[in-house]
Amino acid sequence: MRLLLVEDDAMIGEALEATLREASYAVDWVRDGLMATTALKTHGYELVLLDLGLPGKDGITLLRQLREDGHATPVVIITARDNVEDRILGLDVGADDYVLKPFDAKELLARMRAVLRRKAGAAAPVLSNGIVSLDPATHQATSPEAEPSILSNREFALLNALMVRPGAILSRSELEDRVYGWGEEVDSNAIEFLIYTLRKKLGSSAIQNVRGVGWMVAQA
Amino acid sequence: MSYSIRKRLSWSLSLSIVLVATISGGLSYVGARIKANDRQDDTLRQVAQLVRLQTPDMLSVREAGNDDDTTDYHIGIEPINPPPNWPASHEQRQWPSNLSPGMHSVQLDDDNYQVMVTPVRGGALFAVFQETDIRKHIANSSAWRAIVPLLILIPILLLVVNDLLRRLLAPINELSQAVNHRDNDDTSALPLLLPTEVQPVVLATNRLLSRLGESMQAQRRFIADAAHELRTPMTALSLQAQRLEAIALPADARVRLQALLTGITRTRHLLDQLLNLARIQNAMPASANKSASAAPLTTPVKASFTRVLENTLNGARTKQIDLGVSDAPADEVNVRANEDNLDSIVRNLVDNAIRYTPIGGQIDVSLRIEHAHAIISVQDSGPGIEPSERLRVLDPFYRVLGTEQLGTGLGLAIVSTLLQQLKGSLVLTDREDGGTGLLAQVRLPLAH
Repeated sequence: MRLLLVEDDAMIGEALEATLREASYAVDWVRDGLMATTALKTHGYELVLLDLGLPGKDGITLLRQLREDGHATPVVIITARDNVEDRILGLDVGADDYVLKPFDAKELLARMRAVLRRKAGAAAPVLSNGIVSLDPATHQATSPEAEPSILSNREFALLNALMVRPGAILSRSELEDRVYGWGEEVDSNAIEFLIYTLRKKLGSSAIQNVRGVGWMVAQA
Repeated sequence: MSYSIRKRLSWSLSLSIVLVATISGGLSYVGARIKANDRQDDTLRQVAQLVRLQTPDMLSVREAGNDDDTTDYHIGIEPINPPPNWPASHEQRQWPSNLSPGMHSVQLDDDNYQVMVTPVRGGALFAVFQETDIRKHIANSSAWRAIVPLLILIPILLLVVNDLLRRLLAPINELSQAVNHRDNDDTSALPLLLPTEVQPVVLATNRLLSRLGESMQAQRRFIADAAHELRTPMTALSLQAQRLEAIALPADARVRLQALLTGITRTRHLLDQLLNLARIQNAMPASANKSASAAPLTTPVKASFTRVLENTLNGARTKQIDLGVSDAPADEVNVRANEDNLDSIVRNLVDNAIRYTPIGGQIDVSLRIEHAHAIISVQDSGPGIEPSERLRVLDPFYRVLGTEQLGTGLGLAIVSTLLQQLKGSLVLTDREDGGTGLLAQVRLPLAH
């Protein structure tokens, strides 16, 4: 997979280029906006990592031109500009994500993967937080603490709601909204009961309770 | 030495007025008395002129008619040596027989008289007289009448002068009140709608304020720029260190790498907090209103709790701390603050609580409503903060002595700066249930 890295700082450029190579990407690294334009015209890239403060041509101008020319290549902005206005401008002009310096290499790679996945329009992939995984196609859940098991529709709806964003806390009413349809009678302890059965199938630590707020699955 | 212009002016003006009034009052009193005496002497003389034209017989009739003593002037007419046909019933004063015609002061028994002796037709001497006490009384009362307007007007004048002083000096009072109640960071110019005498001071103060504002701005910009410029090398450093993680390293090198990575994480956190603080401080009240119109000024508190807990649970669980929401109203509560600022307040308090709570401790976040304000509490089971330290910990980089916690020292400074702008407040106290630990209570106005 070929990437274009547009970064004027030599230290960051070198480190990032090496990190991306180690993650098995093919990387072309350019240091200014004009070279970036040339590179984008002559090669096809599957992703662009774009710094905003560039000599020659500003990152925002470059991105705007790219989108005006009809390029749909995913662009992830990497910048030290952290105010909300800059973030909004970057995303409005056509960036797919906005990563703030200094960043974790792991986080950058994860964001790149997410952007690429969205672009590919991948059909419901298997959801996983590194501990529990859930296959939306078969409703099969696996966990290291238990045998793989098929979940009931309600159990699946609840676990799916939590697995979409591991680490997010959902309250009882949010879970009820996700699990039950409009007008359905909901027992006061229905959610607790579903969580009890899920824990029995997947191990007690699969779903964590956050006192006073709700439930979550651990973040990867 | 400091003194009040108003008090000084008021005292000295009042004193001058009273002094002038006393002197002029005294002079007119004395003058009026002398004049009254002269007038009464004139009256005696005029009466004597009339008496002169009468015979003793006519005077005896007249005197009898005058016996009821009803005239204002209490003027009596008597012969010095009563003739034989003089009415005996009348009380006759024993005038000294040697009185010559003219004006005399005579003492008879215990009474003093002013006497005008005059011959009448036929040559007998008659006394036209008035009692000195009565004369004095009349003179005094007319002298009093002369100074009554003064006595009434002086207190009025004093009141008017003091009122005028208060009114004229009110703008100066208001100015000093306004300066007193200013926010620490407010360096906007003072209003110039003041008397010309004070304007030079205000102008000089405004020049000073604007220079102060510029240097405060420059300092903040420097912090922001410095933190910003540090980001680029920090990014490179962090990326290189993370690349090392992927390489097979000897065990002791791995331990050192972990220490290095921890240091890098800490530095990044410090940079973030520095930038946060600089950004908050730059969002001065005037400009804060501008940016407030862009971002929604109302944020649900419980959603903020959820976001903060999502971001802090990992840290709490590695220390086996039970972090949760202990009490919150069922309904949603909205406060007048934007999401970033509210999250930042709650986040910093929870981060601090996690940092200072020992392994296995408990942290309770709660929310309640009191007098149109939301009270957000974060209570931990850490060591608490000594009362003497509770204000100092709000200063940037201040750390309680004897703690080895790796905070940035900026968390509470950020919280208190934000709360100043949001018209909220932060109170740090002991736990109310008597256990050891800190109770941090944030008070924020509800959104309508």
